[in-house]
Amino acid sequence: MGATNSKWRGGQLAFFDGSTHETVEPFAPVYVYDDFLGYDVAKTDGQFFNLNSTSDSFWTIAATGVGGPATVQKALSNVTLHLEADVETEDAGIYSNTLVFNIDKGPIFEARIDVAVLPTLEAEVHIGFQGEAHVADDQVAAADDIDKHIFFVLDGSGAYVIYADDDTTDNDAVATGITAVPGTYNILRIDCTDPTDVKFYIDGVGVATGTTFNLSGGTLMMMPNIMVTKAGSAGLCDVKIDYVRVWQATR
Amino acid sequence: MGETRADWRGNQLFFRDGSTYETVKPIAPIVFYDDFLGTVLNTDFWTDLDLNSATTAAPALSVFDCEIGQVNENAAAGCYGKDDKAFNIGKGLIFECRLAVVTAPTLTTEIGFGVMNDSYGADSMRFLLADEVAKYAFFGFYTTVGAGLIPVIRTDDGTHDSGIISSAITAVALNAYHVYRIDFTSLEDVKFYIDGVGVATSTTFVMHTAASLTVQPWICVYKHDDATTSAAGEFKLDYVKMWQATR
Repeated sequence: MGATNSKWRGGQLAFFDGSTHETVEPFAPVYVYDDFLGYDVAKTDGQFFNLNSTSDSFWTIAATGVGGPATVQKALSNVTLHLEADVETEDAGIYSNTLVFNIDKGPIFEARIDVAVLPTLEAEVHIGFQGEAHVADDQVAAADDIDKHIFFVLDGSGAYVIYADDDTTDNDAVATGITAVPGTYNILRIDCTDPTDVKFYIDGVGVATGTTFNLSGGTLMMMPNIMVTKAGSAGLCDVKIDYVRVWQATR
Repeated sequence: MGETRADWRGNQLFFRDGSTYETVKPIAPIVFYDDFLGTVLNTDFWTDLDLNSATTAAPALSVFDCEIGQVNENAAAGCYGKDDKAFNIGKGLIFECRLAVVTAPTLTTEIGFGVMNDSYGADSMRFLLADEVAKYAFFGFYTTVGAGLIPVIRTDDGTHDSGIISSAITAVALNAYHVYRIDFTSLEDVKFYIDGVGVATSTTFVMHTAASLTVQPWICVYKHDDATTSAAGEFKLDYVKMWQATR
């Protein structure tokens, strides 16, 4: 069983699970938490998931494709993003499309992810913050389609790499040294407490620490975005999202 | 006025109301909480159960009201977790709700609440007057014990059936809320509490047959397999909280 631990970091109190390093309860003015409890059949592009226990929709669904379209389904406390094998452009993901998180106010993104089917061919996975509205078929590895983003990325393999761009400084494919294992969850965290030195963690351990991610080029307004996407190949990928937490140190 | 108190149990921190023993804030990885605020049941999580003439009133004043009337037919009113068994009793699950009996169950009516591994089955959810649910841990009310006003307990993990155990508390008053909690921190000895006090403590409720029994919440008043009597029953549900010590 996990044990409750607390920490004081950057002037903020948070409780965390001492064994998994999951941030269980951050004490912050702005806090979004979704454990994806409840059940929804696979939804189509543009539909919504509700946040836990509220009637307000937060997540917008991306589920595009023509052959057998990509799917997004919620069950057993997970959201599963699934790409089909058809040779076509597909997206499967969830995003809030409301740019409410301000990088100058210390937002932190955390999600527990199982890349159940590793991405193949052109399939890539984006997990983290995006600083602009979602556009179908936007890539960051195969193309530089998203001007502002802070992502963990898997690009045609299980290797986690970092892509971060504030539209001034662009960091691409910075290695983390961590490889996703299908069937195993990782807790991914992006800490923007200091925009001049954004930090990345996997299972509580700092990654890509040899790079300074300076994203202070402008006030990034961001949304959470977890997306699997491919541009015209038969690439596959399944991602299970167990939870997403985003919190911000001040308003 | 309640007072915030902190407890440290099983390596988990949580905050509770010192007077009512409501768990106000569990610090746990998985937390579900529905206070039934607003005017629409959250059907993203709950299945709203209105079998035949039974009624569940839309949440109002932070309460979900479930009633079966005196009509000669099978009936059920309540809610359950869409048969999506996302909680695992093997990971330190705790179920808690605040509930008031409004009309004591009569004749063949049962009130049951807790968690179960079973999916909902129309007309086959009795666990007191019959044993139709396979794997569950429930509080319940039925007319045999305390004229329907003394809560009873029954657990079954598919191997260990506790049978019907009385909580042996004083009969609850109609319309009086109580906080009911089921603690699965140890599957060798599942604990039951009413208003913060352990009940049926002389019984060891064993649910360890499966290391990871997944469950959904179930809160319902019903008369099943009985279309010939005019049994009745009603309760009000104030909140449901479920939390789990680890994923």
